[in-house]
Amino acid sequence: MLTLIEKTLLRVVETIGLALLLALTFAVIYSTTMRYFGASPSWYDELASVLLAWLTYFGATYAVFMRAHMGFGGLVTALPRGVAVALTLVSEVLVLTFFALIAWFGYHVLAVAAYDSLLSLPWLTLDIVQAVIPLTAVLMIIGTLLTLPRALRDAAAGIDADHAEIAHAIAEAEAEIRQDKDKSK
Amino acid sequence: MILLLTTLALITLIMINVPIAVAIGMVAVGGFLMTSGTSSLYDVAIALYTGATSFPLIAIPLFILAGNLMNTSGISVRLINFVTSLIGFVRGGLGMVNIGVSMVFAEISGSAVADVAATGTVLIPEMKKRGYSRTMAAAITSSSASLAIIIPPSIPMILYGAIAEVSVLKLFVAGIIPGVLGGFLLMVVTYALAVRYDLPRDERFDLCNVWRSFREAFWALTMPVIILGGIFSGVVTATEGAGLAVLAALVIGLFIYRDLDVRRLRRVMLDGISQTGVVMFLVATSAALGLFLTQAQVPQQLAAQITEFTTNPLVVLALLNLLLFVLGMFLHGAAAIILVVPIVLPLVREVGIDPIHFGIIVTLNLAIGQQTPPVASVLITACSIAKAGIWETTRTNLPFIGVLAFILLLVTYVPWVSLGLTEYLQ
Repeated sequence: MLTLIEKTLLRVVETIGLALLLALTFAVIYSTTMRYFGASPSWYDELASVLLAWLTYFGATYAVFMRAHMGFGGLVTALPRGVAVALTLVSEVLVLTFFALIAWFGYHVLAVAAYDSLLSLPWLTLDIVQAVIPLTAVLMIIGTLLTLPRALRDAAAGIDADHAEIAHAIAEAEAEIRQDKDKSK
Repeated sequence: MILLLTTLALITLIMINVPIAVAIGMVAVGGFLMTSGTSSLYDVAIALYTGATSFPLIAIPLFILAGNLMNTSGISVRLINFVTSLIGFVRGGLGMVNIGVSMVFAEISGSAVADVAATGTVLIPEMKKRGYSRTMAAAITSSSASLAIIIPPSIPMILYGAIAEVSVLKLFVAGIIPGVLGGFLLMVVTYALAVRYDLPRDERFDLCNVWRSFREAFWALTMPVIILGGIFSGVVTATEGAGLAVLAALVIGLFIYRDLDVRRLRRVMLDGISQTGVVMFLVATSAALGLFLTQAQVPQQLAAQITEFTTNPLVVLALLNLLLFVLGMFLHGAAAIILVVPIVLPLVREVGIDPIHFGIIVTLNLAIGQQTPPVASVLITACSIAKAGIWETTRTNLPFIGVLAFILLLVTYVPWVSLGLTEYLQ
């Protein structure tokens, strides 16, 4: 059940992230082209900034699900297992508290933001664009909770996230090379 | 006092493995709660949003995507082959190829680890096969990949430009002389070591071979031309150049080399989204912390306290270099820039150091930081590909780190090395 929820949510976050990245890339290429024809779209600066903020937070959410955020795990993994697990729990509770605060205050500030809008796109009010903060804060809480068992297991097994990332990157690059070699055969 | 408490809180949180971005955000929340009550948390929420909307930073996801695309679409491999055919005949040639390729490719995407993994998995096994020791292969890869931080395009420079509100183009141009000089010196060291350890020549110089690999790499070579040529000539801005690079990498990968398919493209884009999220979330939470520190007048007070003690820019630079060097040992590059630059910038301006000059100093310090354990992601990646120990590699790496340190000192005390070329910009 939990795995299903995690998979579905992850798929949703991935899809939104992909759409945002494509939209941002397209906006930049389109406006670059139009600038050469002397017709820079007026909405470009503002909309691209909004897309960047949305991409930032959905990217950060995706990274929470992947447990890919930068950290310094060297000290905790060097400690005795029991202490490591306890400290990991403390750190997770702190992370959850932070996101909960952001979700709460991020949501309540929207009422004020509704009175403002983008200059170039007046129908796009700021409460819509800033809704990304509480929305992704809630998603990040869920992501943290869903991946918590894995984090505790890693702490108990003494696995450092930095080393896991490096091992993953090398495995991926090696897979690429193998794939290229198979192709050229 | 506030700076001390903030630093202590940050260190404690990071030590117990709270993600750095969250730790920064929490310290901001804690600071605001203690000084101005709960209502100030609305400001934190707004700062978290506006912090992620800085226009120059739009180049970051695009360069990350372009870099990831180049790593998977067969562009890197063809460039490596071409450079090998050009300089492979020199003694220690493969090591020099490594330096040349790393300098173009590393630090192009958001993850220094992924970039080193991409070039290192091709070159390190090859080097070992030709008689290079494990530690030598790892040290050359690692040091040259780190020097690439000052060769454009470079995510840390874009971050610095956005935070210090200086031209990213100027930063890119300021990195040219130190970057090229550093690359040359790394090659000199490689040559010297190659002679000493009697390393083999790679292959004979063969014009036909050069021509063949050039033809294969022709489209791959358009990438640096588009990125560097377009941006330096002023035809496109850094962000537009990043957009074009994505477009070019897509076209080359999908239609010319055809190494890219939909499944790979999806994987590459998701990696890019994650890397963007990691870096930009740091930027956003640091904006909240920056707001708190500025309201508490911390950067200004720091500037005042230090200028009371000395206003000599040379002394201030020495102090800052020391600070950045120590931080680089414990923090990843992007995190160090985002955290430190806003705090020390008023000081830098007050004693009359050019912020562009300081930008190159900061990034070079981070390059050295990537070579110094315990937090040295680039070195550790190169070592794990080469299956070499981190500390024994560090011993082999010392002359290469020496080159980086020499370039840092040169840039620090001879401003012309970085600023000279920027004077030719309009």
